[in-house]
Amino acid sequence: MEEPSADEIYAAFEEKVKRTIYIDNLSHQVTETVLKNALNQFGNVTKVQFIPTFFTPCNVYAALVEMESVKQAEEIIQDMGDSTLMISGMPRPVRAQKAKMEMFDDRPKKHHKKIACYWMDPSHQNFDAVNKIKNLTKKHAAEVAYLMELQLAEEEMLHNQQSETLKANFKKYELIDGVQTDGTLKHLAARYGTQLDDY
Amino acid sequence: MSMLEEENENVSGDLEFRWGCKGRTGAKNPDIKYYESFTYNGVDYFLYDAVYLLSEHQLEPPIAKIIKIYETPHRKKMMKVVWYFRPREIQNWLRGVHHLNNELFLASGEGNGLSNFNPLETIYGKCNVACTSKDWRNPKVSMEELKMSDYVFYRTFDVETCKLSENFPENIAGVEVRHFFNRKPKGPGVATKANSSSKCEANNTSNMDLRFHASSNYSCHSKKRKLQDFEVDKKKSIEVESQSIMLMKRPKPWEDRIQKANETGSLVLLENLYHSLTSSEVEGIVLDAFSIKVSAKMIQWNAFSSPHNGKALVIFKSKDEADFAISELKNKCLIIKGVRLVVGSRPSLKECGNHHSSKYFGHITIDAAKRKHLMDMKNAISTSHYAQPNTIAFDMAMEWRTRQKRWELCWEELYKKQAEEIDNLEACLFSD
Repeated sequence: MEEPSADEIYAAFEEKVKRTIYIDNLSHQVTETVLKNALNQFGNVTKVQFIPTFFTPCNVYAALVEMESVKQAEEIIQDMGDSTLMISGMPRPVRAQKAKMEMFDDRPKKHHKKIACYWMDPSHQNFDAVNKIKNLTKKHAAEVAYLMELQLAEEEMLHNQQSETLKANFKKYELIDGVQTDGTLKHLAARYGTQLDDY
Repeated sequence: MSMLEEENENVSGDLEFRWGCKGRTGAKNPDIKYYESFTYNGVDYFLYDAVYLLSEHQLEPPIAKIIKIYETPHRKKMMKVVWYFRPREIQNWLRGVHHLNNELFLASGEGNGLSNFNPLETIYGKCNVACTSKDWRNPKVSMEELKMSDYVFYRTFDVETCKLSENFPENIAGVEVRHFFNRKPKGPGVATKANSSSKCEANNTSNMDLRFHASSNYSCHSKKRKLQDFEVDKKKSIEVESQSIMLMKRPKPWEDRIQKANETGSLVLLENLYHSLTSSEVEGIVLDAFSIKVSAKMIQWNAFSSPHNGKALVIFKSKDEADFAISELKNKCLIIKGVRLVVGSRPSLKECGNHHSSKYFGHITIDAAKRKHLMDMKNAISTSHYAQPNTIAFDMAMEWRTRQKRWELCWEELYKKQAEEIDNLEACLFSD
């Protein structure tokens, strides 16, 4: 057997990326098995891996699901975009999109060239721009964290609001049930001369 | 479509069928005539051949091994088959078990799903299944045979216990196990037989689809339903079992190392890298810049991470080395690929341990007593499904979907703005 060349390895990786679906808006209850079964309904899953979260808050939980073929992956992404797939809980649907190379942990190098790097000395004439950029990086990170916080707060609000709606709905069902069981319904039917057979 | 089917019905009468060698006469019922082979639609079938069967319910035709061929007193042409399972059919019990793409599992044990009696007309075609078991009773397959085969198997699936095994029992469905292994090489006789049948097949290919339609109205074998029945029985307990196996199998060496390094202070976060860098390239950069060998890990991108700010965690050998690197990065400036400026800091990791206790918004549970009222909420907690448009769940899901879209736009906008700011400052840095 001949060793595959670096180009071949990279091409195989590119193909794998195309076959892979990135899924987020997952709850932490979702395990590899659950996810695999969920997507096996629409195609053949060959691999599932979760993206570890070191910096994003715990509610950002995402996974890469590798399908058997590019076509399958594309169709599933399309379908999941059109409707709402729920995994391990309701009603918040999961979100699917095409995987990107940078999402993979085990991606091969594209070039064998070494990455060039050099030190810029503080005596350099443009060095004050350096500090500005460093500060900007920090500022941007803070902005990202803030937006994430806002999103979380909004998620919580929607969650609470939907819980309320659902509770109200159950009350309605209970009310209907109650009307049936205590005979009020029959009473009313008799009164208005309608038949209850259909119910 | 209906026209076509009518036509096919006429054809079905003309499908060529011929009995081959006679087998033993039935001990229990002498009226049943046993055979060892038959010719159907130009193809010779023998006892212990693997065949595809017709099925209306399944996308992929089921595969089985013929273990009995007989004619009933009412002149019905029948066979008994033992099933091969496709991985998909038993996926509930395969979790975490590695299997080949073209692997099958031979049914074994006693119970539903092991074997069925089917009319011979349910045969769709021959299937080439090779046994790659290392069992001493199994004649080894040659590389060529393996290449020729459509499927391979080396494990059994016990329909009773729902367990996989590489050990083959003495007999399966009352048939000696040697009949399930590869046939012993017989010399040229086999080859000519195969040739002649394939020739016939070629002549009759135009009939193939017709045959499929013609016989589909038999809808004779009930494997699928039976299999499902027992799936329901066994699902629960097995799910629990395989889940525990899966958890054990998932080691997190990197997460452990990072956690440890974080505790000892030898962990450094590098920011403002290119996302396209690989972990080994980051290790190379650190070696170049500090002449220190480290292990690095690029943080995997997710849909919320900044497209401008690639991050990597670097594990130094000691806290001193880490401190040195951080201060160097602070006082001087490391530039990669001539443009990007690396920022180093002590990371503040989010706790990884308490995932399961953390609250996830958007999954609402209602206590079981109430749940029975809402049909669409039933069974839904642990399954994955698309919401039906006429349910409350669907409306709520759409609310989430709208939010998701809006947040996507927010993130896009933020990152666009950030990109502009970065571009402006970088222009300052490299202007003369």
